[in-house]
Amino acid sequence: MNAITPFVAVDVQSWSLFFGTRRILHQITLQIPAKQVTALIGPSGCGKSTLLRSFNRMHEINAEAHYEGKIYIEQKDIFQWEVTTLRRQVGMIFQKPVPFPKSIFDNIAYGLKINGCPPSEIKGRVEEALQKSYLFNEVKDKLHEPATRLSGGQQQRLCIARTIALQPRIILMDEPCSALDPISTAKIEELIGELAQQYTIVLVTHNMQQAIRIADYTAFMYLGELIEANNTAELFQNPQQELTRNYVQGNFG
Amino acid sequence: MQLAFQASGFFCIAVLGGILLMLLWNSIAFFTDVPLFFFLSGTVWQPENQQYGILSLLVSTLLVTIGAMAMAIPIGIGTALYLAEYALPVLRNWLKPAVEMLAAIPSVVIGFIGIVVINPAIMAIAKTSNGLNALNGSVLLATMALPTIITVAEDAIRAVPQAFREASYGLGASKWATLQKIVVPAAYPGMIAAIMLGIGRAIGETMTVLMATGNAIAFPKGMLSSVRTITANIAIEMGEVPFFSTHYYGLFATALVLFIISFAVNFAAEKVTAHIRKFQI
Repeated sequence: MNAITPFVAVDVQSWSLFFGTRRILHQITLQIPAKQVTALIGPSGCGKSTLLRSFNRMHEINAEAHYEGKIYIEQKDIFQWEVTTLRRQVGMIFQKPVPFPKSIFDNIAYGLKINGCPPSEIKGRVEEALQKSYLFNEVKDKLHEPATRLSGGQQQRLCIARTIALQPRIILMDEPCSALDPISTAKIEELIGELAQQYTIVLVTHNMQQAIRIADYTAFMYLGELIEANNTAELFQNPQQELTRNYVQGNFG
Repeated sequence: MQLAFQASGFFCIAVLGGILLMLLWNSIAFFTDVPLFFFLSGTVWQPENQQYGILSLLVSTLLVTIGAMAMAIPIGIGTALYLAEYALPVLRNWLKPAVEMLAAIPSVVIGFIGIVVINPAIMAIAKTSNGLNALNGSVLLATMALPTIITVAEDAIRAVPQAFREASYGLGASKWATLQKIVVPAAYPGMIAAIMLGIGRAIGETMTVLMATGNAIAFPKGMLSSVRTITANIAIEMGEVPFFSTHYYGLFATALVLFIISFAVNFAAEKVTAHIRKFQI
């Protein structure tokens, strides 16, 4: 990265990922700065979600996946972390909001309980998380109603609340707005901006305008390779690679 | 075409309604002869002496059914969880059809196994002179209910969206915590349906219990007592009873009781699942 690099939160070193014999990611080297928003962009199938899911070892559910190279989270190899600790420290927001079939309150309390939060603190931390995700005023009278009754945008903010309740260091977001309407999207983007003051955010998006609006840094991927990474303005206005230029100008993708 | 479907729908409902009416009609005829109170509170069923107490038969039916469920529910749900969450695909592809095959065994064969296998086994283990008793019936009914419980529960568990599991792992949950707190609660409606179908299978089963429970009409003292269930009693006596006698009507009244139990079980299940579904998409 050309720009001044602050503290590196995620350090990817020659990372390759295979599903069976199929190579999905090839020799990716990338530094993701702490307390900034970094966007991963690229056409469908370029491996941006796969790279994101490498960071919290989500591929371990799939027995076919194997890897080469290293990823360091806060200077520690991801395979040195206890996987549950890693995933608590590296929260994840999915493409479609996934509220659990529980009440709004229990959706957030669940993560706290399984991570050993003392019962006396749960109520306070649930409310704090809802405040931070700007959901509290909308749901304070119906905390014990099913979370599925919330709108799509509210559900996604609930998922964000559920993640930040665990006080993670990094939040991974896998196209968090792709299932939402423009107004909900605007609210989530605003929230991401707020969260970046406190957390490192890695955002996968297929929407270049979204990357321009909210990302400090942007990495462009193509066919499982990292083509170019730079601060967002630089990458879009003055791309170094031919491929990047064609993509950001909308010539393919 | 629409008319044909409509007609077949109405035909089914008419048949069901007809059965219910027939049950009610014959039962009312019975209750004009024998007061409801004596029917429900009497423990002696001796039609030849004008004794029509259902209690022994009813308790026997419940004993055998509850015994069967006590075995079938933990084993069935456990197997379903194993198949859905832990078994390797290769193993599951063999195990699940094998379990489904169990359902294809005719009940008379299961009853036969009760007589020649379970009967001597109970005699040897419990040191009793007779192994044809409630316990034997429960073991067999559990065997018969298992395929239903396993198949339906496994489908319910596998139908829980993968996204729930990933979201839970993403919060730092272990596989066990995810299974316990997310997957199983999300699969509750299906699992309750599985259990209810299992109970329905057990409570209405006739041939197996007729063969394996000893058929003694007495108030059961425990799982090792020989018992006669309502279904077995109807099957045994219906062939010999004079038509339109009090005894004949009485058998319909016992069938009505059976129907009410099944209906209550289904109704309760419906209420419980409706409450749980409120929290689901």
